[in-house]
Amino acid sequence: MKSLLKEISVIPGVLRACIFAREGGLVCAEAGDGFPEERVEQLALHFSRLVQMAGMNKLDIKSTIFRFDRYTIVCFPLDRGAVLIAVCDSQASSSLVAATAAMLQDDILRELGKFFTSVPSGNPR
Amino acid sequence: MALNEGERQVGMFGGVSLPSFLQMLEQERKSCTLIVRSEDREGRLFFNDGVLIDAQSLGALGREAAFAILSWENPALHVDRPEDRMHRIRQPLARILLDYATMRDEEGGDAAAAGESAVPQFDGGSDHPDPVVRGVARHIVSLRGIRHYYFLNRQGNVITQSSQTLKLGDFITYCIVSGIQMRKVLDARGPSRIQLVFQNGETLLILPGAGMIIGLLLDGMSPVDEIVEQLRPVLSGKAGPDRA
Repeated sequence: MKSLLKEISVIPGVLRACIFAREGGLVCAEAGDGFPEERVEQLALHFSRLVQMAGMNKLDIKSTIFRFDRYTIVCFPLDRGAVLIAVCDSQASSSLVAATAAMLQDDILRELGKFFTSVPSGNPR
Repeated sequence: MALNEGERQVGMFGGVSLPSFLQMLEQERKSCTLIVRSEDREGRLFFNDGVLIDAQSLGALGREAAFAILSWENPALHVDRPEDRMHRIRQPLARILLDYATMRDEEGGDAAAAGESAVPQFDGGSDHPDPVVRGVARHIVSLRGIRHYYFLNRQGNVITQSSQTLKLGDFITYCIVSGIQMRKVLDARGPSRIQLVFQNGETLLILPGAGMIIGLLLDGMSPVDEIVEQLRPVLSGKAGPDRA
């Protein structure tokens, strides 16, 4: 899984790429220490809620991009409530990040499936 | 009267002129999509409760597309189920037909030229009392690739929306709230733009502004950056209010 995330994190401008499980647990993280994990976890929580809200509106999110002045946040919902978050600087090509994540999605889901079977329910770490 | 889902009437009509058929749809208060084919061209005229609300043909939209379709010779007509479209046409059908006939006469009977040279003119948009809202809506309906618009005030209440059926106001507000929460986490400013791609290929583009929040539902292949660039003048207030 780490090698898959690395394919995202090597894109210029990507500060950190992480996968979080529904319970808030970090499944995997890759790239610099410049952006603290706790903050990515909070972003993941907000995105998870957004995916839930979308579901209530019969909307099935494939990806989202939030643009801020200093950052761009690219998010993907994965299996069983897990989410992929890429924190990028404002100059990063968010479309390239999104396209790369979409390309890797099947492989990530396969790895995620292995992760879930190896970890007891409710304790993603 | 809408065509029932189960009926999905798809038929061909011969021996009836296109203007006559359009007037019949109006009189019968039909909600449907009229597909018009001529040679290798295809165009669509969208009716809602007998009102012509939009047209699409060869990359043209609204009145321009309607004029182009009207210029085609020996059209084959098919009726299909209605679509929830933006109102790019606000003029009555009789006015559209009259304007087309006048233009064709002025151009010496060259019907095809009349259709193709029709000035792209969008009289659609919102009938909201605020001229700024009307001006932005009028600009949006002139852009390709936008299926629907939603305007919300800063409190997250819908000011106006183009879709008859798809209610996205609360969800758009929730996206903004999520963005504000993320902003606090990031210690940043924004969000200046939120872009959600759905599994069906559509994109919801949310542009928070000083005066209002704009949500745009885009077709699958719409160039988001291009649309944002085209909207920049109206979002910055440089385009001015609608004076129509």
